[in-house]
Amino acid sequence: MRRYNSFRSISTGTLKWLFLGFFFLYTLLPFLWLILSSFKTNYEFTTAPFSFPETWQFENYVKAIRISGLPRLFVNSLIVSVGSTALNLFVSSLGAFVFARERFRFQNLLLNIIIAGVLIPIIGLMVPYFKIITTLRLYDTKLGLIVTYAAINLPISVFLLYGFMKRIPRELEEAAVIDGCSFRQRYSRVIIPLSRMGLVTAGIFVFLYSWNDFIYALLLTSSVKARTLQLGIRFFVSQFFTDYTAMFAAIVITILPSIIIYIIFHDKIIHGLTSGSVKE
Amino acid sequence: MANVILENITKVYPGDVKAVDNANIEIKDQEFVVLVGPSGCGKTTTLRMIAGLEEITEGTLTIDGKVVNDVPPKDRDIAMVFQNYALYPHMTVYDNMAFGLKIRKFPKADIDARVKEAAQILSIGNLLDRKPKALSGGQRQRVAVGRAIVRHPKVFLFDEPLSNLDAKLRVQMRAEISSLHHRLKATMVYVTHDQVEAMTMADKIVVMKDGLIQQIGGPLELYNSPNNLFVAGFIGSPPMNFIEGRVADNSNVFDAVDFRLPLTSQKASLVASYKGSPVIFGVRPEDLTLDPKGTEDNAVTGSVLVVEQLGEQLHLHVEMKDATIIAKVPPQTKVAVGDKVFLKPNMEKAHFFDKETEQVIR
Repeated sequence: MRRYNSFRSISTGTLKWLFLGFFFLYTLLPFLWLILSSFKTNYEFTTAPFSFPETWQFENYVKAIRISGLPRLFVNSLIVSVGSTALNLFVSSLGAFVFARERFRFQNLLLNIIIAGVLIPIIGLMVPYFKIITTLRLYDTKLGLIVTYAAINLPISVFLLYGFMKRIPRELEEAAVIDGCSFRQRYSRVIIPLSRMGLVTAGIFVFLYSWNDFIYALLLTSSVKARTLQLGIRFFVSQFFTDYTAMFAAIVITILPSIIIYIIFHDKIIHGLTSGSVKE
Repeated sequence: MANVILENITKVYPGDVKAVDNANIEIKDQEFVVLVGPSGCGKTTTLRMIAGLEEITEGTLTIDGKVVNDVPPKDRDIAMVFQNYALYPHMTVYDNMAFGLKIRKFPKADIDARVKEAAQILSIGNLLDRKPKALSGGQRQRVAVGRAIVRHPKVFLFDEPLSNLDAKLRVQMRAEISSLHHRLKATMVYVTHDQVEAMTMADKIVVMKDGLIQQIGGPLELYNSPNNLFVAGFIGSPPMNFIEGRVADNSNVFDAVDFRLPLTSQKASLVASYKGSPVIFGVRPEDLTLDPKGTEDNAVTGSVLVVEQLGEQLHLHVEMKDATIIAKVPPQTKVAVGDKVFLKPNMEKAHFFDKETEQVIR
């Protein structure tokens, strides 16, 4: 019996580490490879792609910033991401508030239609968005990207905010009504402050999407005035020469804000996604 | 302050569910009225209709002489204290209390004076900077009351405000709300399922069941002269004992299965029309006394099932063939489980109810 137990614990322990090892190998290896490569020379990268750098080439980062005009693209990305997040949260919170706190005909049907938008592949919307944005004369403008990113992410934001707002006790809103709040004040003074966690969760989703998107930035911009960081990376590749290591350095730079945002808000993201799933 | 009049008020929810059926209540200026009844009796719905949180299906609601059926809650000049306090978690105690006044654009100095006055009345002056999550249940309830006080409303509405508190705190807060009523001289409408709260706090009690008002009256009136079996059983703890039997053919005796009780001439004339018919005999536990010389022909007879020593009195649970009754007897009474006992009822205070209609026979 004892032998059986010790055998069992050894095999469980080994398996546990095997599972974890495989998982980390699969998820982290490309990222580690990217970081290591960003410190190599182009010669090293092509001759020994999986070795450690002989000397750490920090100038790749300097090059990445200098050659591609990353600072300007960084500012563009920041404006687009912050703008789209703000616009998305404003619009989605209005909708979520009415869906979660009011009663009206076809309420569930309409809500389900909006939330079903999560299932629509974004590629499928490229042509309509291109048409709308050009018609609105917003092609190659930051505002065009802001409006697009905000709209694309409405279903997920409404879904998240609806869940948060639905859980606010009815009595709080009734107390506000008796205290004299109008419809607008119930939204702005009671429901929005109490949905802070939902707003943060939805906001992070929209921000990260807007920051990381490549497809729509490519589709809706043509010049540097609205070009975002992700698009800038493409310009390290030219017809005759590709500066891989500087491009990798640029990729690391573009990934950093996402990682920083996740580190700061990770507990809120996890809480936001799991809230309501277990009894608190 | 103001009076509140409910005339033929009915509330029907979708699906034809009648929550309140033709309620008529007159709440006088400065009166403390308690709506009491079991869950689902319509008491909270009635309160919410007064508050304006539920639409009135039929009838007229008047506050201070003005029909308010279609007046929104904010313009009814009422304040409400909710069962779960409903404090705004993102605001401090001060802001919670000041919120209604800020929304109504009161001058800052006036708001400050009112909040501080209410805080002093409720002894929560030291909590003004705290958020609700840092308060105990009792403190939260005080803040909820404070939020109502600062508004100086015409009518205060309380929706089971003490039901989330522990037993000891509930007794304390009960007294505090009563004293607040005397101090503010306000019209207050209070909903509870706890008949002890109703008895101890109310000037007037409205007993409800299944959406219907069963009886309206002062605490003692309801206790001593209940209209029907429900009110008799609901008001009082332990509740009134009920024993089924029939009035003997000569109408001088109440004949139960296990025993017979001779009736006083007054009671005999009361039940004269029920000769030979089934009735329900009701007697309160304190109106039963142990009678060692009793017999099956003149006392309630049964065997002791449980003895509960409460210190100031003893509760005897006495089992009979068809019922179990409770008697309150002096604490030093020597009696053991299984003893056969004879309990003499105070017939002056006993009640008879029609078995079919369950109405008291008067």
